[in-house]
Amino acid sequence: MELIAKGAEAEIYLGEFLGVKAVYKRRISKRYRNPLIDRRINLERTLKEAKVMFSSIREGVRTPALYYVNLREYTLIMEYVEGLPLSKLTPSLLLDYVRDAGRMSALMHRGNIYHGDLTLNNVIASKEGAFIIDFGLSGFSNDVEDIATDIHTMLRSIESIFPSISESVKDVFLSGYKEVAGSETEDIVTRVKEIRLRGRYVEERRNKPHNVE
Amino acid sequence: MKVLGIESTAHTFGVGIACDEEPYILSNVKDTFVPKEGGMKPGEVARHHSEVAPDIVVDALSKAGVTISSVDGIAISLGPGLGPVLRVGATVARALALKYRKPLIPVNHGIGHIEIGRLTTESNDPLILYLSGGNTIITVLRERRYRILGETLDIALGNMIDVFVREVGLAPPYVKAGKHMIDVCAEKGSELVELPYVVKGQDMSFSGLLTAALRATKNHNLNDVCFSLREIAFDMLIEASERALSLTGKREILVVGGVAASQSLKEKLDVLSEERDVILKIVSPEFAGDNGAMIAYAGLLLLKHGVRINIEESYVRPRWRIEEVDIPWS
Repeated sequence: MELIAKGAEAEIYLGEFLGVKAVYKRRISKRYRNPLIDRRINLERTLKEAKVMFSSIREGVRTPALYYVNLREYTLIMEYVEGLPLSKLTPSLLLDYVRDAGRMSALMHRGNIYHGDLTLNNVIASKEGAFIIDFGLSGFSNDVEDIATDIHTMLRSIESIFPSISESVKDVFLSGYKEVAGSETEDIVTRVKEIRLRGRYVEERRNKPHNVE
Repeated sequence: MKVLGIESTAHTFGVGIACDEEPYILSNVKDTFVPKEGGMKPGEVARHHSEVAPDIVVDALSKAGVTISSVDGIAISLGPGLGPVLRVGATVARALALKYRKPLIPVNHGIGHIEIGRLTTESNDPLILYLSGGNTIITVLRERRYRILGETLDIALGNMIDVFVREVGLAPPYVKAGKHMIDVCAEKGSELVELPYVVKGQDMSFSGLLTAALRATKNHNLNDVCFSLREIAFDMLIEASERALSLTGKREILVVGGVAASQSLKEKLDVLSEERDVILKIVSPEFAGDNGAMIAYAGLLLLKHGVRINIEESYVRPRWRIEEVDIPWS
């Protein structure tokens, strides 16, 4: 097997499963982490990720198909999706995929699934369209807070990766989202704004004029 | 070129002098308010600062061997911070700038922490962890701004730990002999208590952890709760940092702010940097906590790029985010 990526919490290998090209995602133990916390987190996340991926496919979200779950080695074996992450695309190619990423995100949210780490890095531009990958921090929820947090992390990744064109890229993502989610998008966007204002030291949180004393 | 900088955003009043050639920092004098009980009350802190301010300004000048007339600008941390406390420093800075006809330079406190860290550790294009009582921020410099990749969604890590030790009766004082009370308490614990671990992408949430930990003290050994709280909070931060490393591909980590002095955090960061083969740089204790030298040095960089502010417009900015500041240097 060939190591193709080393993410923050897992190693991704390219190999074969029953004669088909497959991705092996193995969660790695962290030496900096307390061993008990480490085991608890790796087990919980592997299990959760498998469940969510399965549901996500059922909702019609482009998600890698799940082939096998090995809980003892914290390993998921899944379909190999060919393509670059959106964060690596040139601005000219980016917009169509970003719109599709918006649609896929809305489909996922409609199925009460939140991703937990929705960024340009975790959407693959494949021939078929935008694939959502890495459900390592995902879960089930119909709380607008969890859904809005996904949108918040996506918008912020757009801002930090494509700062000069971020406004138009964000608009395209949200318009794709709206194609599926319709009028619910408004509530979610409102909550995203609230989340941002909740951050520390947000200037707009106090709109009264500054005092000079 | 020399700049006098004044820090007055929270519990520390500090004055430093920076110049644009070796050794860069000519003096760094400070006095930190320590409450007898409870946390920081802005009014009490402001009174403390206005009492110590004159002596600290004079002391910083004499330690640097510089006269006020020979400095090229007065830098002031206008925010973020506590309004009444910010106003003390701002008043002193405005008075000095007017009386001695010096340009007044507006400095964001967080930019001060970051720039003094970059200067003193000679770091090169790092992923920056800005960790203090009020801030838990993961940031990188890109296209003239410090872009925030991750931060706390509610309270800061440092604040969470301070509140915990205070609520369980271990503080104040929060630090004894250079060691935070959470470390003193945690070293006697070993059993891991189940507490919430919340990482969302590169963002973290600490408020649920604080509530659960306070509740856990009712039926668990306090030392074990301290140990678990610290383990979980730091593990969350390191996981978020590792994600940011993998997102940006940075080869260096720079840690700045008061929490940078934590030994147990350093041990975990050492393991992370070894695992990911990156260089770890931590600002020295002298420049980790709030200080005037960092304001002077950031002010010097700003003045060199023509940044100054009219006295009439020099409002304090209690919620001034680092990402709002244009960074003309690289």
